[in-house]
Amino acid sequence: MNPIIQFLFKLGSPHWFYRATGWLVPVFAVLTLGFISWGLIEGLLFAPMDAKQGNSFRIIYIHVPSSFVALSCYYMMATLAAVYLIWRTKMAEIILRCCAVIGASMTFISLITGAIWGKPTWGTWWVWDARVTSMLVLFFIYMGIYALSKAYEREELGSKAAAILALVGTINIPIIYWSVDWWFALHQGATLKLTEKSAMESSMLFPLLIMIIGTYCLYILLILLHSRAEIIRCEQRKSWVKELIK
Amino acid sequence: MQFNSLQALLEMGGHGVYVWSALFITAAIVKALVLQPILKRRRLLKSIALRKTFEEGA
Repeated sequence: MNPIIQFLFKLGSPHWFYRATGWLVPVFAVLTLGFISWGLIEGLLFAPMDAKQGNSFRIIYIHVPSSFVALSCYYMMATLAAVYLIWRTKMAEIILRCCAVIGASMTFISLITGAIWGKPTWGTWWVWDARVTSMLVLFFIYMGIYALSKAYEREELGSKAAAILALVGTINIPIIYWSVDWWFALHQGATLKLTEKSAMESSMLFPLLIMIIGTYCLYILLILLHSRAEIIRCEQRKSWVKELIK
Repeated sequence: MQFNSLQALLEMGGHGVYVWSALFITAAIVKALVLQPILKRRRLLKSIALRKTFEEGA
């Protein structure tokens, strides 16, 4: 068999996943702590003040990375939802449920830091702007997926319903992406662009990149922690889990 | 360094309350997100160990 397919098959087994990812937890804990403290020191202490927004722009170092992860988490969740619905992979089901909690929290962080940033910059905590509203919808979709995954006596039914909602909710993702271009809105345009020069000065941009790397490490760490705990819960009657305790 | 004193760092020219509250709310949420699975795993392993000793004793 093709080694990549073989690897994916193994990855789908909770026992193998649990054994294979144990060493990754401390690695990502160190990476997360390192990058986030480095990024915060650079961003809060050393980055120059924004000429128009003053010091309140420093919230960008929390707001943008958490928004990125909130969206990435959705991609991952939707992909796993498809994998789960097609092949009934157990690990896809487990991580799918973890993604809903992590994604909802990241979206909440993005919304709340955005509101706090909005007060000194726009003069209001909240606007029904296209970007803000579509992020709020994302938050509700995450909450809906989480609620559905817990709504049935038989867990399998809940996971199936949650996976279907995750796939349907994908429609919201391009709306979030292009909302700042489609509708002229209060929310500023994208700061980071892949194809053009970034709209930010390099001394301000550097801490942001560090924070984005750090927040992605945090995201991977959270996926590992949550899915490993969930594996133990799902497999607690299996002999390999009992053998964990000596 | 952008700020000359701790006072200036905390105030951030009047914006400190926004920046620091955003940071602390985020830190609180992240702390809960990290601790929840660690405590859940610990609790589960404890109850599995308890059940195991009970089964072996019976």
